[in-house]
Amino acid sequence: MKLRIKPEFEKKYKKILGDEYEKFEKVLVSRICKSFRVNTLKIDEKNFTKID
Amino acid sequence: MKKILPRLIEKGWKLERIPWWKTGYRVDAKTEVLTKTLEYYLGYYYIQEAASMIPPLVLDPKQNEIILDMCAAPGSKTTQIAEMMGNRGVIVANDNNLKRLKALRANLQKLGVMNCVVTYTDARDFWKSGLKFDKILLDVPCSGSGSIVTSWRIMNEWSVRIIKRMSRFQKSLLVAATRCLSKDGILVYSTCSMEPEENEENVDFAVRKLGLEVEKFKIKNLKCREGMLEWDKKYDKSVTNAVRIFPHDNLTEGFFVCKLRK
Repeated sequence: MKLRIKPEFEKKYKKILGDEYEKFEKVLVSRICKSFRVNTLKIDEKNFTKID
Repeated sequence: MKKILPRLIEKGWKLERIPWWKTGYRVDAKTEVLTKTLEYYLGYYYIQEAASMIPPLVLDPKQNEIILDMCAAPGSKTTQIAEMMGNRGVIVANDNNLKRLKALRANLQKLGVMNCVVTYTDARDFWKSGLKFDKILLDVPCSGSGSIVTSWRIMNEWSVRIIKRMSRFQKSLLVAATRCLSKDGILVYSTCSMEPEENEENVDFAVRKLGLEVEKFKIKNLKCREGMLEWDKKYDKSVTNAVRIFPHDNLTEGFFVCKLRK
């Protein structure tokens, strides 16, 4: 499947972002990572290890 | 109990800290994988887009406060607020969609939230309850253009007509939220839209028509931009205190957040 960007959308965001539009479009057509948060109501902060 | 992150890493997940939320992580795995673990069913973690973790940070809830989450379902931000409050104080989580309310209730239960009351009403009528709140999160229904990066089908639905209709609806929610806010109370307005009509235009409305003030805020380790001063028309200069986030700024969904004081 490919993202088809609507012409009106492209026109609007080129006006908003100017030179940055290409960077913006590049991210739109790629897939970003999922994310989650650890629930500290159930897991005490001491009970999960920081990985960085 | 074994520490949770090593358990997740043992599953082969590659995790990366989200810089603006202490217990947020990016993971290179599909939703189907993330939702099929014992840890997920037990509510040890909650799948939430990284940018969606920002509005509760701006709201900055305290343990003794009474908070209204006006359009709460399915509860991503409600449960994060409860977590920030350490299950103290009171959250009223409202929504007008029964199917989504079921998801909200299930999430509250799964994540162990105990300081939350769920209400089912049209947010535009919530003021009729007579209740006043220290802080309100108004994460409004929107065109969702910021979510195109995670859901391409939204592009098919994107239209100027929908954006204008949503913008009018969001203004009516702002009016209702202002009526529910205590004097000097804080209203955080947020959308997963990148459209000025749903964002800066509505903040300008809140300033000019509702008498709210836009407060500046900063989220550590988050790249963001000031609110736009002009789109079709000029906005109040305080609108620059709002924050917009584009997907290419932090590799998140596009988001808009504004902190307003009554």
